[in-house]
Amino acid sequence: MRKPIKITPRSLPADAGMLGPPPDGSPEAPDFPLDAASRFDDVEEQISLITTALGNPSDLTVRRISDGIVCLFLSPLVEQGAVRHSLVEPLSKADWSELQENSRAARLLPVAVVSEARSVEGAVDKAAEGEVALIVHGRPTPYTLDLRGRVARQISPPISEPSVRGPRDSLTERLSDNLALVRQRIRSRNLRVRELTVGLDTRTRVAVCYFEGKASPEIVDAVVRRLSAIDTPSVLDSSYLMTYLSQKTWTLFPPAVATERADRVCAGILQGRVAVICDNSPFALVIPIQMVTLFQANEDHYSLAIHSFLLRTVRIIGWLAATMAPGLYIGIASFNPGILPAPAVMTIAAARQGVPYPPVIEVLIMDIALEMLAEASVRLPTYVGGAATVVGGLILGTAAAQARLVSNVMIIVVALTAIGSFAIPDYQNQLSWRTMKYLYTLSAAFLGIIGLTTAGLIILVYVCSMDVLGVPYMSPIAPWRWTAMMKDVAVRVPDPLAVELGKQQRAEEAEGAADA
Amino acid sequence: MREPYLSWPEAAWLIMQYSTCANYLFMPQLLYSVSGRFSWAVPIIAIPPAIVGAWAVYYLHTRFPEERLGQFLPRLVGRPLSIAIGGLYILFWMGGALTNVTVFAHYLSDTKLQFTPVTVLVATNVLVVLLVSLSGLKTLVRVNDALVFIVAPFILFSWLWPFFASKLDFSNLAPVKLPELASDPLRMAMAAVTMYHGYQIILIAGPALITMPLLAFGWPYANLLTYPAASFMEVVAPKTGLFPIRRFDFVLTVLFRYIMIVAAMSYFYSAAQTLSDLVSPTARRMHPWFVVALGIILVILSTVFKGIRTVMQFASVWVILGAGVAVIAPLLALVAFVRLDAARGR
Repeated sequence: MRKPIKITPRSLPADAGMLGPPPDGSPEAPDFPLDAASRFDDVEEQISLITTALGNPSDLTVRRISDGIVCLFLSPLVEQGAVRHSLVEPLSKADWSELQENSRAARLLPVAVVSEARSVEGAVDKAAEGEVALIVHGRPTPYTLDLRGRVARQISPPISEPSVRGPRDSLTERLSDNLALVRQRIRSRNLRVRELTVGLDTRTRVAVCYFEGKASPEIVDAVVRRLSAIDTPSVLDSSYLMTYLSQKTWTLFPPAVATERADRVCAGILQGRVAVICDNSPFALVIPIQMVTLFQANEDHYSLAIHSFLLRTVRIIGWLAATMAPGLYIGIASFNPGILPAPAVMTIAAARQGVPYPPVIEVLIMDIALEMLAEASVRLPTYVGGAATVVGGLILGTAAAQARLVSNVMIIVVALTAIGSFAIPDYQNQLSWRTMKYLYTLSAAFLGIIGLTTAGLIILVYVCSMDVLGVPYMSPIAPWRWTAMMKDVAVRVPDPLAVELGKQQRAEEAEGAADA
Repeated sequence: MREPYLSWPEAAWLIMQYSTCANYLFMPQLLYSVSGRFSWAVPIIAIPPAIVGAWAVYYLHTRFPEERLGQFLPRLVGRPLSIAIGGLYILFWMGGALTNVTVFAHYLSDTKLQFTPVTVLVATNVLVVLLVSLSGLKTLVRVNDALVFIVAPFILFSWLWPFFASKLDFSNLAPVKLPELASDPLRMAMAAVTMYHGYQIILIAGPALITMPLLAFGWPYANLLTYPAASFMEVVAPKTGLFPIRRFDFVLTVLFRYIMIVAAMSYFYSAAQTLSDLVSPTARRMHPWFVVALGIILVILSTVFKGIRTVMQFASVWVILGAGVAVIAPLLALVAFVRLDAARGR
């Protein structure tokens, strides 16, 4: 539970009138002398309480606008120009008596919302979040105004999810920009946005976006409920929310898509999913998802249906290679060479001649080297990363093969594994399957190809047991949902047909929910 | 996007699992040993009892929609009889699970993994079965659903490809004279497929694996060459020596394993759940350690079998149990129909 801020009234500090610089440095905004304090004790009391609660920070600005009217804000979080135009200028000639009622204050101030803090403590929280506290003589609590403005990154092309076709804009760290990107694409009145604050210390703003009528109300409620119940001190990125949303602490596969593509967020919302957009994070979470979603790229929807089928098939082959190629190599080399024609078996045996380790050690050495290479290329700056890849991939691999530490066939297997894993679209999904690869490898070392199938079955059981917010993770494959399967699993049907199937799917889901 | 607990396809699949009692169809040798030359006719004959069984299970489900067998049996037939019937079901299902996990382990130990102890292979199979059972009914159904996408193409392939191999001799099915049934053997085969259309995929596999070897090898060679069914692929192997995977039977083995595991986990879950319900009818879920203990018992029991022949002998007895269970399901439905009020607890 969050501890309330303890406010201890104290006498007016000697430098209360000079806290922080003027917001814009303009000469028409003079500070009032301290002797004015005696006439407006209540104002000074509130200033004192707020500055004390905030720890008297150096970036706190206390701006005395006129007699009995003082605004107080953290200058890095507030747009200085907005303070001048929306607050200082309209109120410089106003009297405190004109601001006693909220409705009059709203008329005087050219801002969208003038809120009344429930208490001084509430005003402290608002000020800490970047709002302006407007303290007026005669009022027990300050008004709060949202004049936040901060330096943010410009909208740029997505870095982790590039595509050949489709929009080039991606989410940024600013929540309002991200919501604008969503609203620009979904201009329907049915788009709903519910904002929450999570993180006891970070007080991070989180927006829950969904499409009324398409998203299940139970899922929306569950998302809001789970977000509201979060009691973690810090939420620095949307990824912090993932575990809380799925309520699975030790999950092997991502329960939500984390995407920086605005079009992918919107596609998810339009499919009836819920998007969770977190302030200060360029990645939105789309929940609930299924396993098949993780193998789809938004680009699939910008290509011809037949082309997207080809691309998805390639991804599936890549996925099989990324997870099973090392295990298959062990199975064939150690247990079941007979499944290949004799010349192929001889080639593998010849390539392994002189290698001092059993195939499983060979595979593990190369797999770990591959993991290190992948990690290094992510951590290094772009211009060094390329060189590291060349050194690691080509020179080290070739040298290892020539030194007979690993076989040439192993190099091919590792290359196939790497290429395959890069063909998996979602980064989190990629990581999950890279982890699963070791289960396949060790199982194959234990029982050959039968071990490989055992690992496959264990993983299948695991993913089949997973539900995300009540939606089966393996749907529409398991349980079967024929309409959804026809619409967008192996094949993405062309749009007119997809619309019809979508209607049919929603009708079936409604019927299923009614049955349940 | 919200899903009901069990959809109708899931329920239908469960009914199939519970009602067919014909999993031994996947073991051609077993069926050959039971039925001999006429094994090919068994899947056809099995249709009416399977339909009656499916209907009985469905009817019992409609009468007791929120309850399981072990929960409604005491109210339907009384406590003593419920223990007897429940015990019979448990024996049948545990026997099915035991046969499936053991026979495949022996087969692998004899052929593909000769240096691996049978117990290790059994334990591996039991591990998968246990994981499913611990995850619950939903997972069981979903795993079944997912595996169908792997197994179904294989079954389709098994059905259709031999027709292109030109090695089939329909007179092998004699003494039933084929010309007396149809002038065109292909049409007859198509009719057989159509007959199963939309019915039960589990029955589609039976003819594919039993009739085709008979057609190809004749009797008694089919019995000798299907151990358990892998050599059947000799029929379909392309003639070219450059085909990359010559030992196609290994792929078949893997696919058989999937079929085996579907059967084994369904049987094991049913046995464990029914036993749990009989012991503690109010428990919502089985206790995990109870399931694990049953799994260990399964592994221990598997050590009794000293080879695939002893498994087959046990399976022959198990088939009789299966027949008994197949009869009991419609009888229970009949009792529920007659004693509807009592069954509803009024």
